[in-house]
Amino acid sequence: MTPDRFEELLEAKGSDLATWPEDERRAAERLLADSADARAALAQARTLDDLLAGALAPEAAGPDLRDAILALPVAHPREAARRPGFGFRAFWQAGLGMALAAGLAGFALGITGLVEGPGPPPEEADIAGLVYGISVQEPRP
Amino acid sequence: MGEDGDDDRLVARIADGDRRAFAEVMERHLDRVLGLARRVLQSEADAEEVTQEVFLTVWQKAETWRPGRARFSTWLYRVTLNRCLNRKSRVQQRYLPLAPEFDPPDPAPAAEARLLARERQSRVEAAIAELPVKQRMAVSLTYVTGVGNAEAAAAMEISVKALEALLVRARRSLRQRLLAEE
Repeated sequence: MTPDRFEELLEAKGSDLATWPEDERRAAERLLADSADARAALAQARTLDDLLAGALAPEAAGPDLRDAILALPVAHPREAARRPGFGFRAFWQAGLGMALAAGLAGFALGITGLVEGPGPPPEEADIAGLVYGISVQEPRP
Repeated sequence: MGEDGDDDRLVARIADGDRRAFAEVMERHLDRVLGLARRVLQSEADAEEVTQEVFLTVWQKAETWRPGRARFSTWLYRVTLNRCLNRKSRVQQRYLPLAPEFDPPDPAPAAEARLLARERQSRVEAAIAELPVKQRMAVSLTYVTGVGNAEAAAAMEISVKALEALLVRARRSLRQRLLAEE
């Protein structure tokens, strides 16, 4: 590993060599054993990391913010949509949905005539029409 | 069970309307979410509002969370960053670090150390405020939340290579600003 590559990795991955990919960490350790410049670059990168980590460490949120967040579920109530398993409520809702869908489908089929209503068997109706020229089917209301 | 498993279990309880689980998730993540928003937005008031929005999203969207696809914390930081960017685009405010408050000199050595620490803190905050927003996001994810590069990249929805390019530029700039002065 060249010193330039080492410095680039320090800037990209930080000064904690343990987080570097294994092959690059080993190459860096070999360079550090031989190069005073590399050791100086590592020391400077650690100083910067420590400075930033110390200055940017998160501070505790204040009590007012905590209270405001804890009040969110009360201010924004919601119905829990997901329940473990397939509970009674979901079953009832699904059943109602299927019943409505079946009703609508039945109505649609009925008004389009795709399904015959109550009346004589088809063979009987056909014979009456042929013999008497009339339909024996009851008119639909 | 690890941190991720704990989060997944808690979020599943939130999806079922469990407010105690919501409080527990808040305790686990609040300081880092707020810290991230503070650094990106450079405004305490905006950061607190964004933090509330983020936890409201947790409450309202918990049922859509699918364990195993990503870490919950990654998703949380992504929501935080998106909210920050939305707010920045709305407000378009430019942060100027406040002048340090007047503090009467205190001869005690401890007070002197505190003063030095506060000065150092102000210098770092001012240097970070000068970074372009994407670099600031990358630096904040790294140092505020402590996540590795892969998770930071996922939170920003960019590649690890792109994240590291941001970190290289940010660290160069910060090193020149902060270490050259020492």
